Amino acid sequence: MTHADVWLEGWLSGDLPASEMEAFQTWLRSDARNRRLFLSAVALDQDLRAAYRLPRVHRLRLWRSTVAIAGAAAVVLVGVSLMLVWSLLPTGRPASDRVVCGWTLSKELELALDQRPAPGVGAPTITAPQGGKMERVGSLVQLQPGAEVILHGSEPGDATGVIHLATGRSSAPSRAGRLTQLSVETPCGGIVLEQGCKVELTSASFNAPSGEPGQQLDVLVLAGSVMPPDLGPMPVAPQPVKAGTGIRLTKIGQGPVRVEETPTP
Amino acid sequence: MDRSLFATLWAGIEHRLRTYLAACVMDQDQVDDLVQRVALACWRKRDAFQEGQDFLAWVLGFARLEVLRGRRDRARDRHVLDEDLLATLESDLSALVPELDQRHHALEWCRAGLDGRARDLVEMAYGKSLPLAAVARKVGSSHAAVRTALCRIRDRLRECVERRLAGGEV
Repeated sequence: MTHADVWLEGWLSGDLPASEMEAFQTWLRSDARNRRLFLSAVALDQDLRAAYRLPRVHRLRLWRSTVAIAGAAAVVLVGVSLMLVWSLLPTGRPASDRVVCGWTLSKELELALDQRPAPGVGAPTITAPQGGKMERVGSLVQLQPGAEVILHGSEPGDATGVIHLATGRSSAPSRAGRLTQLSVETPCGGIVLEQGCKVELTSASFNAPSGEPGQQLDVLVLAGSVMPPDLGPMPVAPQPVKAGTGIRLTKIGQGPVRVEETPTP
Repeated sequence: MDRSLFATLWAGIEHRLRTYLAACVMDQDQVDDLVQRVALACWRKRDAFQEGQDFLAWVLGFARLEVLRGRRDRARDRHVLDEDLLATLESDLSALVPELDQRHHALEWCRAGLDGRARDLVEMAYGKSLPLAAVARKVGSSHAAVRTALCRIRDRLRECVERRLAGGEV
């Protein structure tokens, strides 16, 4: 195995020793063929990542279709009464002055194989459909499909964190100390919303605030339940959360965040 | 530039943007974050994009700046290439895109030829984005063995891709 093989494998495996970086970069600089080899290897790696992302959409669509067909009969049977009841219930949705960014995740999933939605810019909240639950996933607070949240704060910099919708994947923290953006990730890749966009989502995760312990992100849960993420890996039953409950996520270490209720804004 | 045009153009280049970023920084989470930052930067400056301009080249310019910005923020992280290499790779990648696209198509065919265990490993490492240690636990193997197995799988796929390209089958 050549040095070049070791460097390329180390880079792609994410464990290239820092002490090798200088030699690796010298090798890259020395010949365009080396860079071509490197770019081809990285491209193959990224192609694999992309290839295994897309089938999720197919599976989800299949699942959605199956559920839709199975549910259709039931919907027909109870539809009229359900609609009557539904029309009488409060929706728990935010005030109508909040700006919709122009797309919903359900629509996005349908379009995902053909076209990704565009980034959008909006008002200072982020919301998602009602229902679902929040649960711990590693150091994440994950909103399961249908969860509804609002992140409030009128400007980037109010808090720290990254929101990933749809995949629930973790990510590296945003720039230490500041929330620079909210991120929406589709099954096909990432797009970005500025803080404040209202989006509808099937799931979202909030990774522990980056930077120093003590930093906070306020979240308004419109419906769902909360599984405190600082209780360790033991399974903990999600605690129901009433519509409109505010929670404050506070970083207490490198990974964990503490969840506490806050007064509804 | 309106939203739909931006979305269309973005969908066409995002994959190659990821390739560039993954060549600039080693950490995949950083790549994900950078994609988002570049998207935001491009969206904010979308009106500066001139019709007829190469959209990928335009986006890669933002990408290089974002990598440099991230590099300053993570001064202790040495797994980011130096500035001169970022620029060189930017132009190398632009020239290489047609070939990479061919390779991408060939890979689809080659992937179908993976045997069960290889497919499982790839599905775990790439599909579920599991860390190598987690993959190793799941398959009851060591971290080093899984790492080596994945390297061999990538080698096999690369050789298969090159055979198909050489045979003009793409």
